[in-house]
Amino acid sequence: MYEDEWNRFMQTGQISDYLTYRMHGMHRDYKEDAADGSGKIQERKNAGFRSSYGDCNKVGGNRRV
Amino acid sequence: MQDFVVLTGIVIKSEAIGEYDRRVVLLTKERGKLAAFARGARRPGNRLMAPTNPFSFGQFRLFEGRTSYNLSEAEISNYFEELRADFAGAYYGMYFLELCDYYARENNDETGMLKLLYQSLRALLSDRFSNRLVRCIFELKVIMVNGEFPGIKGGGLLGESAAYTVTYIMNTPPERLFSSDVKPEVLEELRLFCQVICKRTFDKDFKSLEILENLE
Repeated sequence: MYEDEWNRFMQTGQISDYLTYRMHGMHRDYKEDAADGSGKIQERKNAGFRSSYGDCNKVGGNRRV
Repeated sequence: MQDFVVLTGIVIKSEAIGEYDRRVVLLTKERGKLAAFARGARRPGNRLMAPTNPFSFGQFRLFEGRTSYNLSEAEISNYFEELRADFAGAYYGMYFLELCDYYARENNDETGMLKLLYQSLRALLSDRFSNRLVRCIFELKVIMVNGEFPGIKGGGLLGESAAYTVTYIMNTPPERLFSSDVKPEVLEELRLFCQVICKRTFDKDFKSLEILENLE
């Protein structure tokens, strides 16, 4: 899993790339957290402010900010 | 008709080429170090995506193009997946791959190197040996396998136990190298001896070694 991140780390040897690889699996939506009954807000991370897929201005769903 | 070859080896380097392809460097038993292109290996869900990662060990089916090898299939027996979760282990593994890349040559019989690398990576995953010891053994043996070891007579740093350990490393095949641990004081002697030998032998600075030195 997450081969691109792992390969980047193997090429550069940078600790930041390793952390990116390790953090990739940890980024979950809040919806998943709420499923275990912990009571956290059911909301996507950075909803409406920043899209992790690129420029937020290009993503229609984020324009209501 | 295309001529396929099946080679046993390990991926020692992988880099992105174009939009969806990868170029891998393999250390193989039969043909030494070789580079091959894996077309489409970066497409999501492609069957070559996992086998083209560094540390993947197994059998690779390649066909010889006019100017390069192309990877068509792979049957991986060990991905060394555990190294990914171990930060220090990953750096040690990376250093070993870099050393193999430095020493291996195309169309050489690299059986000794491949065995040594495989056993060393397995030893890194084992709790029985410290990573420092695995590194010392790997460095010394890789120099010995390639015929550049000057012998222990010149190394005045070595005590009796450490000298015995070096002789043992010299005379034991890679598959039986990692059988026992050493005392901390012997390991320290070995480490200093390795430093001297490596400085004398290698004419290159290894990227992963710099980070390893800081980790240690």
